[in-house]
Amino acid sequence: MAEKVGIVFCGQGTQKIGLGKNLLINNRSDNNLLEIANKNVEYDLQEIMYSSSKILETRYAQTALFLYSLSLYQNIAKKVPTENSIFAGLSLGEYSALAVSTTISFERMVKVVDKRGELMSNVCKSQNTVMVAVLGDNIDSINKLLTLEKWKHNAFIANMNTHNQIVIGLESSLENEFIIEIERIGCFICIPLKVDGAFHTPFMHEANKRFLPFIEQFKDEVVKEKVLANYDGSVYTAKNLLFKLSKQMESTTYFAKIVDNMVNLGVKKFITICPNRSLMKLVKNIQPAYEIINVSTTEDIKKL
Amino acid sequence: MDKLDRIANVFINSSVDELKYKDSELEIVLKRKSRQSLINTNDISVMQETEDQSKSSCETLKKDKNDVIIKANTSGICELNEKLGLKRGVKVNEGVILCNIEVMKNFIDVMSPINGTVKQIFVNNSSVVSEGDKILSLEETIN
Repeated sequence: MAEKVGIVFCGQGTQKIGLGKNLLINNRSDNNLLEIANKNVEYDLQEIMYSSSKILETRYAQTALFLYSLSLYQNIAKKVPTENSIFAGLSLGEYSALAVSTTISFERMVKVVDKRGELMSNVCKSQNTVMVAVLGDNIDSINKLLTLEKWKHNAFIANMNTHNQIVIGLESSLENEFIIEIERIGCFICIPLKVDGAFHTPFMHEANKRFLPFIEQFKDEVVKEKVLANYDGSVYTAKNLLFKLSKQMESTTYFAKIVDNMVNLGVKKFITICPNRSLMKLVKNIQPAYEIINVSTTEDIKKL
Repeated sequence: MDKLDRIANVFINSSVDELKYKDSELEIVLKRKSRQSLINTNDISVMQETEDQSKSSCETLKKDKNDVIIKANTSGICELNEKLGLKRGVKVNEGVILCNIEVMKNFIDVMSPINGTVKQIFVNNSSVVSEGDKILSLEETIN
């Protein structure tokens, strides 16, 4: 039986000006994805990816990273058969993972990803929310704090990234008070993040509500390969596809659980698809004993 | 012995064919037999981080005399460790976290590979760095 490979797609935050330029120019099939993507968005995605600082904005970053990831994966799939792979992605990366492991077409998914970027961007402009990373060893004790009356409606765990790093989303007016309290209860380091808003928390509820009609179109789609959800770290099925996807934007992401579960499902090696090596290092932090290769260019694929 | 193991491990997992290491305690040369081409290291020793050491210090250490350049091991926002009060002349111990690089709301540790003294800081706190950018230089403490 062939060795199982965990294919992990990057999330927002890894985008950069010039993303995928060489990749998309030099590969005709990738250009087809670019053409399809460009036909389905209301702006020049190619121009934004190749040369615009707009790619750094939530509105455009998500669609650009989705196209970049899928273009790379097309080439990876020639070397690593899909049936030997188990898929996942961090936040936005989950849409890339679903695009290659379900019957949802690239065309339909790129529209949905673009809408996601638009809605998340818009809701952030109307709110004053922030995110704070908390680093430390006894991260579970923070859960207790968040159940207190004072915080339970104002601060939420957005990302369980590794076994010693989480991210909290909260109203910006409470940020200083929250950091003081967190540092008082334990040996934690708190670092405010430079983000547009509190993604993966109930603050995204309005955006998510507007997003749900776009997800509904996937109700008859089939999950072909194993793919794990940020919502609970477990596998998608045709039955739970809509439910898990509908919760993702406003729920905690459990990336550490995803990586652990990939190992439980038999993954012996990981391939991360990311413009830089941060995703590889994140996976390594969670599962240090496994081989991990990052693919950011077509040159990297030759080494697989 | 730990130091020797660590150096050997770094070399085995690196892409270089020859590694020279010299400090106050030992001087070693490691050569790879399986590849023909050897790099000319001259007086510079090269240590390349292996992925098994992803929590470790830095992407590449270039040693010139007793100086070690700490470089960014990924792209992102560089947050210097405020608790160390990093500036020229500050002493740091091996293994201490010099800074974190934030990307996708995750922090990648950059640790000091040596006991040393900060000689120069090349970045501002919270500035954007690319993989391979210089963060700071340390002068190794010779016991």
